[in-house]
Amino acid sequence: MLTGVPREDRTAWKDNVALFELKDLTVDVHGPNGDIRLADGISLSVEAGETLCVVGESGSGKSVTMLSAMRLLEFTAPLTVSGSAVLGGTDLLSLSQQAMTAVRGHRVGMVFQEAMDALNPTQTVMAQLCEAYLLSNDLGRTSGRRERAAQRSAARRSAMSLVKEVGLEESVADLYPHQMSGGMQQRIMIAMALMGEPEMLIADEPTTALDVTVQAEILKLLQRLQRDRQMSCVFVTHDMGVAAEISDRIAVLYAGQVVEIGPTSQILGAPQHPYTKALLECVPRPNTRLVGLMRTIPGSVPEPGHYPAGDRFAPRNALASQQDLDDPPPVVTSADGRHSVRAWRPVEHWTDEMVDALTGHPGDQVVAERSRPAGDGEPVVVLENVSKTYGTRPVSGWIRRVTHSGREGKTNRTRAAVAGVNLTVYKGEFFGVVGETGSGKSTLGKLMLDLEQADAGSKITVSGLDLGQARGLVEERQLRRHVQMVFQNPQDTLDPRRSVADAIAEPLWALTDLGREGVEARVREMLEAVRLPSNAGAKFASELSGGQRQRVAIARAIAPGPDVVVADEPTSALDVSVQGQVMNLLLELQRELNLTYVFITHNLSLVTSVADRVGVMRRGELVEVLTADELIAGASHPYTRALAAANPDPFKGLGAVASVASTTNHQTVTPIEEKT
Amino acid sequence: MTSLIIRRIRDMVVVLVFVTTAMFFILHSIPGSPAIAILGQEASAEQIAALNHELGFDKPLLAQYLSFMGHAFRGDLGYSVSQSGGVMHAVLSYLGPTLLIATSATVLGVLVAVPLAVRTVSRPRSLLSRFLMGASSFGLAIPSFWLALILVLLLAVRTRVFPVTGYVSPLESPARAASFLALPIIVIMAHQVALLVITLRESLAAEMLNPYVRTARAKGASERRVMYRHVLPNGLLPAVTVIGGNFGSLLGGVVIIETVFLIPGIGYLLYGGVQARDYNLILGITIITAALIVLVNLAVDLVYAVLDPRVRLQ
Repeated sequence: MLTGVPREDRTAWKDNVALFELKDLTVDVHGPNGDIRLADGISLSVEAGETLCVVGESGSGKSVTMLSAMRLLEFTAPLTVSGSAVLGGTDLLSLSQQAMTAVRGHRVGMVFQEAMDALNPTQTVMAQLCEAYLLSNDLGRTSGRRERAAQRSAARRSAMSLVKEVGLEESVADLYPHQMSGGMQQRIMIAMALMGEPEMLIADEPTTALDVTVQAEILKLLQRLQRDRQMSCVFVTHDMGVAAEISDRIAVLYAGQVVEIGPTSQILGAPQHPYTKALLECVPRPNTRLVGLMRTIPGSVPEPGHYPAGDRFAPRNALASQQDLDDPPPVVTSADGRHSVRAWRPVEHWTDEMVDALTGHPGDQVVAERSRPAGDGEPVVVLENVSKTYGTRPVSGWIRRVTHSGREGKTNRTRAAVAGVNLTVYKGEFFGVVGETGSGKSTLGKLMLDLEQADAGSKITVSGLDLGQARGLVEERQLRRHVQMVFQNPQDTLDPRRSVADAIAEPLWALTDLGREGVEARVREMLEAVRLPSNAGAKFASELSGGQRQRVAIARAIAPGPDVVVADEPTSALDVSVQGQVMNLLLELQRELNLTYVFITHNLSLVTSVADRVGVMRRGELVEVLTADELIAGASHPYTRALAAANPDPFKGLGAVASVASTTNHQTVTPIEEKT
Repeated sequence: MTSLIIRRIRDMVVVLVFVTTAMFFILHSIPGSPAIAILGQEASAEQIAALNHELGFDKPLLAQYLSFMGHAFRGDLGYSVSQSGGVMHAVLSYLGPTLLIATSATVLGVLVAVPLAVRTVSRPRSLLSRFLMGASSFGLAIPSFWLALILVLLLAVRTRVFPVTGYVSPLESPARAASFLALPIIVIMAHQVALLVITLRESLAAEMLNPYVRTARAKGASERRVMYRHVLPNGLLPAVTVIGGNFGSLLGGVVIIETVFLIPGIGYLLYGGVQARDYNLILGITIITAALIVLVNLAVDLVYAVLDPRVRLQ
């Protein structure tokens, strides 16, 4: 808890009157092939002064619901919204857009994800804040020069006081959005949403693009503002940890429906819907070493418009009965009316066996031995005094000298992305690199891959090959056979016009001497290795789910048989329920192929749970390298401790923590095929 | 900002040297000579040789080139045979009508195109929007000389609303100048408006999808305000580039239009120069035109920097 106020006390002064209530809100988007239902009968309410978190994975309809209730979605997509969205007695769905302009900004403030894009890039922050003031005070079109000047100065005063209230210096008001950090931009977004003194704040993933330390500050700020102003707050997020920090109540959405809604302590501590339980179990615990494999939910989140009949989670639920699969379940509400579950049989008590069946995996004792102590293997990646400085481009050739003279050389604004890093990664090791935006962790990965050239004086050796040496094509190919990569967003890293088989075959054609048959055989082998159906080879990336795409990217990386795989945030674009599948695949492949991983991530909990050793980076420097056990025992460096403290944890303060994935899990799970 | 201007002026010199050099050698590789054009086909070989010697066209090509460039750097573009005077003087005295037509067609074009483009974006399904999209494609497709002839036929010959051809300086009589310039400006504008409507519609529609538009609505801004305060200023940026980039072809169009309407601009001058094989005049007009185009591009960069802080503050 960030507030320090006990949860019970925070709810005490509420009068339990719903300020905002959605009833049966249904959103249909008109597509070329008929309507697609994005939200299906959403009912939830927000009481005065409380914070409701709407939690769900991609395609759950969480943002769609709030945006269409505010009548914002209809501008960008042709759609029909039915049901009702009542704010203080007025059904917003019945209002004209003209009338809505008096609701938005004035009665309801909104904060969006990616503040950089959500702010107008060509206006100063002050201009945008003042606009919010004028609009919410209905002063947009008053005439009279003197009056307008008075309004403008009132707007400026109001903007300045809010800028200070959200913790920024007054001087930032005259900056443009691109001159600010992500955290500052989001603070400005928040100030702008509050200019109209709204009764309710809707925050749509406001901290998703931010570093954990900044996220913690923004959450703290939102909580303070919400309490000071006694605002209601709807907080849309995909992160159970964030929800745990900030909410009074949580609504869990899945496939366009509310599957469970209730007080935060009950949702987190005693969830009754299998999806809620499974989602919680999938979040990597901070300071917990993974034994065996990660918990995950089989299959993938259904796409809008392709919802299963019956309980929509049933096809991914190993505990589902035939009734769950066939018939849509009713909403069951607790006696006090505070906790509702959409299920045939809400689960009152979870046994370890049930949790294992839901999120587990066939037991595998060998897995426990995957961790090998660092240092016993031979060094495979060795960095000695490695630096990478951006900003000084070497003058190459006369063309640059002719056309760019005067520009280069004068600008000596250099930035060391990586500064003096010494590091040895041993064979078979799972090495985690963790750090925030701009810490140089990705640059470090690129240096190992020879995608970036290190500064003079640096020495990088990968599988015995010195990357500093001038090399020809032959040596380059040799290096690529030894080290391969997996990137963050498989949607962008796979060529949309190439089939999966072509994507996997590409490094084989380029790096190996296999003939056509050899390549085809190897592609089939790889598809099997990453647990994709054999017919997946003919598909295109757009036909696959996010998790499947990342499997293809992994198959492509391991196809040439590398020793080292550098994986840069390979799971951060994936849903939590699918993240475990990809991590488990990586863990299994490591064991089977004796791979060495350099795993780059911002997620400290994830890296603690899977890595053998972790390197913490900050502003280009390797702050410290620890074993995972040392990290759990308590990191020595204050920066690492700050990172760990900022990590949102859905189980913090709940006491009774449910089981952790065990290796002695022999429960057989009927594997459910992913959508292909 | 200053470094941008200095860099642009440097680029301008480089471009002008390249253009002049290329134009010089292309012109001189065309068979025939100015002497033949002046003296006519019946002139004897001796007469032609004598005149070529007098004009300096018998020297080695490289020497002619160096001499020309040397003079050009000092602002002397040589002697125009057909105008019987300095090239620079001739070009400058004919530049006025051309610039008048080009700038007024551009300014009026923007004034007409912006509201139309806004309309097609804010009411994409309306009858007017659909008509405008069709009309824009048509406006881009029709050749300007054809449109010019049709307009002359309808508005000048049949109905006599405007004079058929000719030119009066606006300094002498603004009203009569306007009546003479109306048709040429309309012809040039038709193309400009069509191009701008299409470009602006694309950029405004793309701008509408940006998250900051949603933020503006979330603040309670009306659709009108969203369009005119947020979308249009940002959506104009690509249009500015298009206007600047199109300036060259605009000048090309003006050359044709001036010939059709007999307006004493540099297009008309160029036409005469080509017929007379007046190498120096053609080169001079090319250089001045290239300089104008580079200047307009500099202006576009500056406007861009004013409109977009991300460019300015880099």
